Amino acid sequence: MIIAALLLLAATADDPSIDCDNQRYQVEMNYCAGKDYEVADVALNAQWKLTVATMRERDKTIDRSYDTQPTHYDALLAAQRAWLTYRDQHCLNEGFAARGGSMAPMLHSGCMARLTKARTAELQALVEEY
Amino acid sequence: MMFALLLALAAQPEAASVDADCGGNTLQMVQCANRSFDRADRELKLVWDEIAKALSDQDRRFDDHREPRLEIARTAHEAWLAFRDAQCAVEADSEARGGTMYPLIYIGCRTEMTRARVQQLRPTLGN
Repeated sequence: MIIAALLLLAATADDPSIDCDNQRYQVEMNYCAGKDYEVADVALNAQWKLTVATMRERDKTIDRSYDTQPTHYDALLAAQRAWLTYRDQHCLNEGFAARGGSMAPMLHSGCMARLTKARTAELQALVEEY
Repeated sequence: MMFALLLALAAQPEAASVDADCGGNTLQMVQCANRSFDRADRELKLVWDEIAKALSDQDRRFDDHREPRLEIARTAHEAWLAFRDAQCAVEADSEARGGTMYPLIYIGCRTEMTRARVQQLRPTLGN
């Protein structure tokens, strides 16, 4: 059902008649939540590249004559993969709260956007704090 | 009620730090930090058990042949646990790779993330 709803959402993509500053109907809310997630995903990917670049710089300082731990980059990649699994599973769960109702796409996209934004901040913090 | 619960599930952890309540030498600090983590972990298990029970009850009421909520939520929770540990490895690595502080930061990060998740989950109980 969620997949069907997302297909429906995709069919309305880039519809200029929808004003996300003035959402009235569920179908508009679903569309705008999807747009919000798309924007968040682009920002996450941009921050990911920055954080990866920093981790690769840190990896250059690793002395392999005694340090056999995974590289900074490998640890980051493992965490990011774990996070992706968590986000997707968690948002599947959150969308499922509507049990196939018309709100399901909005709940799912809203969840994806919220967690993605939070992760972007975490990735930024990883390279700014130290 | 479930909506609020799920919103709460999504909130994110804070940055890592060493447990301020723990003093002494490094070994004593690590032992103390481990005890703090164990307390937080026990609390999380209690909260999760309550949620699992609520979802199980809900699954019984909705006899709609969908995948049980409980199973989806359990998968998500287990994914969160794996994420917590992987994220804390990155944070400890960034702050103290190869240093004596590494275990303290790693354990402290896991404790903080666990406490934050308990805080997110707890208000949803009993609704």
